[in-house]
Amino acid sequence: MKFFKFFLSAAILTALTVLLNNSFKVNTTFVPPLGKLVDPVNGLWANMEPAELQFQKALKLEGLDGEVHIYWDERLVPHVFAQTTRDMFFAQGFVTASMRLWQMDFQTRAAAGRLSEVLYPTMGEKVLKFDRLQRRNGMLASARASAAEMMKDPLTAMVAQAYSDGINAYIARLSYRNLPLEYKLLNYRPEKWSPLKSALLLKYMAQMLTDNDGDLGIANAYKLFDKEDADFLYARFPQGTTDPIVPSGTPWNFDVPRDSAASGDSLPAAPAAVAGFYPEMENPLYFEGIGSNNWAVTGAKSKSGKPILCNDPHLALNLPSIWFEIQLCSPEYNVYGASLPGSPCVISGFNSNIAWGVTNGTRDVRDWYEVEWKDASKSEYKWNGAWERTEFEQDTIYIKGKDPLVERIPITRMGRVVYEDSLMTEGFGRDLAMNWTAFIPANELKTFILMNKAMNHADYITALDNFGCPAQNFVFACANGDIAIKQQGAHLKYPAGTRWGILKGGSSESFTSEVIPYSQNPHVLNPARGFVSSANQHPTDSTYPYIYDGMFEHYRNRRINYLLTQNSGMDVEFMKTMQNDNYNTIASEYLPLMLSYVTPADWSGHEDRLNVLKSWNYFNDAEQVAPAIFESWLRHFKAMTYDEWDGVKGEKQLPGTYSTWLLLKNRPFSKVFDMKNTAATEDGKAICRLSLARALAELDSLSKGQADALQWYKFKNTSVQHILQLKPFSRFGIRTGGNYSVINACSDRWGPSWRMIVSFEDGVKAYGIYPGGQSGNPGSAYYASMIEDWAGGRYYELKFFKNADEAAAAGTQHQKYFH
Amino acid sequence: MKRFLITTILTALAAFGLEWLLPWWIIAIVPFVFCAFILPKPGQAFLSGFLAIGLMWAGTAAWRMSEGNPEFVAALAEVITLPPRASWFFMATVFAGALIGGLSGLSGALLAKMRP
Repeated sequence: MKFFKFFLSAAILTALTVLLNNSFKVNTTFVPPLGKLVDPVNGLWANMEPAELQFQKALKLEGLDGEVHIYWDERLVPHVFAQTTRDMFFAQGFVTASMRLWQMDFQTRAAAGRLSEVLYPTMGEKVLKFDRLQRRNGMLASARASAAEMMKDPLTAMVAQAYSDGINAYIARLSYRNLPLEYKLLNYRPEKWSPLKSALLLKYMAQMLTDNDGDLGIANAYKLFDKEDADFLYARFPQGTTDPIVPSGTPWNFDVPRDSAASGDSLPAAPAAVAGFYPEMENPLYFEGIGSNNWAVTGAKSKSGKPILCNDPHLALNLPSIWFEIQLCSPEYNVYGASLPGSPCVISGFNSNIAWGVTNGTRDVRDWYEVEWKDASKSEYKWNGAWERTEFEQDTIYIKGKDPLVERIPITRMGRVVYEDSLMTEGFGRDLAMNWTAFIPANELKTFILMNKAMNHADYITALDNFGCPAQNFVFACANGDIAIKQQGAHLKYPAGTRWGILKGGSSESFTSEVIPYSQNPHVLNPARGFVSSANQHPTDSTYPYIYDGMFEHYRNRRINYLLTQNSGMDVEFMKTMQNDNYNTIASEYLPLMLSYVTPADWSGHEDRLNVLKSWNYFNDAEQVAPAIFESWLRHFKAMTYDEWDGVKGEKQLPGTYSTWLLLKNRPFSKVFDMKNTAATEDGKAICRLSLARALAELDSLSKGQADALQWYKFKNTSVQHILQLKPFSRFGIRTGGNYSVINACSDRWGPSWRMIVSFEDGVKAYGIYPGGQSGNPGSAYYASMIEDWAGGRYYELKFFKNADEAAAAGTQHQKYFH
Repeated sequence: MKRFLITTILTALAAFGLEWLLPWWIIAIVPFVFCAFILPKPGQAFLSGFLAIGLMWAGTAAWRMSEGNPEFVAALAEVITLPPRASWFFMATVFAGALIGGLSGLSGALLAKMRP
């Protein structure tokens, strides 16, 4: 009896302890290890940081060559002063990991297609599908090739290895107690860093910026619309396309035969074997509206007589933030700016001689080919009229709590077979192979290693020559007065007649692997107009001798160029206003046209809304109501215009806002407007009226009982969300204006992820902000500390210290690393 | 009573100290050991372990909260699907610790009683 009592009690104790020490599943709900989590000594409580963060004064770190001094300023920006460049990058790895370890680890796992190893119990089949797709997309394979390329170059190898060693020095110091909170919640531990992981992070960015190629969707559009309409709606250069990055009329300083030029403008007919629509793609990282702004003005345009450079990359608004501010200083370097946790160097920033910034090139750099197999074994495929042997990549995906899965990926001369009957394309007759410029060996990291210490335009060009994918528009300004912009990346030389869409596979005639020489990429230095700019628009006008397609911007670029043309004597304050400019060019063009197509009767009972629109100045300011009315109307207008796409089982690609405006303005009687499921024949005017009625009904239901629900910032509900979509660690309803295609490009889930202004007056003065905070720990006061100032259009002066003494004198917290 | 108090205080102190070196489940062992040797009365042992760990965890959590941000604790409550209030996460913490501490003390006392 005594034994039984003891046994019962001990059994309950043991069972309860084991239960609370482990994660498990109840039906489909993931239960984290609750005992471990609530333990106030080591659990989640330990992730709560005091508002006044105290850094350990001195840390002994194995692997350093000498002493490194870190000065943390009041926003927790580390200013790193090292005696050698190797130590500087080691320290960058260490401090970045100390603030952002989980995020960098997670993003590289996502890139590699290794999330199932940790997330399968929480997310199940969804995450396994994501991993399979990543393997098929070749993320891991291309990162391996890229890491090999990095390690071949002694300078890059040194930097990547030092950064990696720094991260590992941090990981080695971690106990469970100071693990980032997400590891505790998901119940796993960080793994060692390596240069491969930095390569993966850069591929992750490449994927985010290029995986919306539009190819399958536009191929489907040609099945949906007749050719004439499709050519109009998806034109390479829509009518009146103005304001490319390289100003029209700039002569090309090279000669290529015109037969490779943009002559054949239409899509090759889709192979007859495929009657249905191309399958729906998964672009796991893409958010509509990814884009960016950058510009620079010469001294002739600025108040100080010195150049000013501005950059604001628009990316998903995430917490922990995508960017991490840092100053890096060694005998060779003194650079400040935004870095990407997981990659060494500063990505958008400045030193005392130059400043640079990036926007996405937006050209289509992925191509899809139909593969014709000899038989179901897929061991041979059609190539130039003969059968060619297929290679297979066997990729093992490890899954937490389950047997591993081996993904067998066919590789052809046209590329990796991404969409196959085993994945994504059930019921679709053909497999699709993909070729992507990210597979071309390049050492992108070297661009930043060199750019971070560049002193002039020649250094900038040399740095860019290493950059392959994702093609970026690099804006540049120099203390000596030069400004420049170049679209740099690997772009293929397409044969005449190539159009985006699905390329007919099976022949070297339509397959291309030759890259346009980098010296012939669009570039302009000190143009007569006194400024350079980019906003994801066409890099050139149609006189550029090479063929390209892409999802180009038509609005932000025009507004930016208008403001830069109209104004002179610009200063930092002007640039702040400009980066936060809310002028809605789309509305300024659409609204007068739409209003002219509807009658007073259409507004009956809603005259107040009409008056709001009529008195609107086209600024999408946070508290205005007009932008919500317009946006609702435009959305319904587009949805009804393109009802052709309703019910399409396959990849969709609606025509752009600009082409749609051209359609409404120049072809109001186009049959595209006619709705499929009505007896009547609708034209553009009818669609304006019908969509207005729907919009008014939507607005009424939204504002019922909540008069201010139509204030613009409430209507669009900009949020900054935790990467795992954990609501308590996200921020919603941010009070900010703007929208897509507005310079202040804050939409619901994306926006200016880093605003930077650099002026070369009195040496260099810089300002910046991003929507988040330096710490990635939700328990830190620095986790989301900058969001409010960011939303309000405010900036911080970026403290660019000349040397350690200056940093020490500025009231920073000092930390010493030694070996 | 004196024995009870001494056991409880020693348990709390030892568990607190050991938690900085060992995983959280040391709290399922410390009351067991102390009760087995010093407090072999099942009822008292349960109460002792319950109070020792419950109060030690309550105190530590209160100390953490006083330095940090209560809104974060409310977020933690929400993450483990409790109502989004700091007090809920605090109570869940104290309850889990106290329960395991109590069961541990009880088991220790029952083991001691098995000795002839």
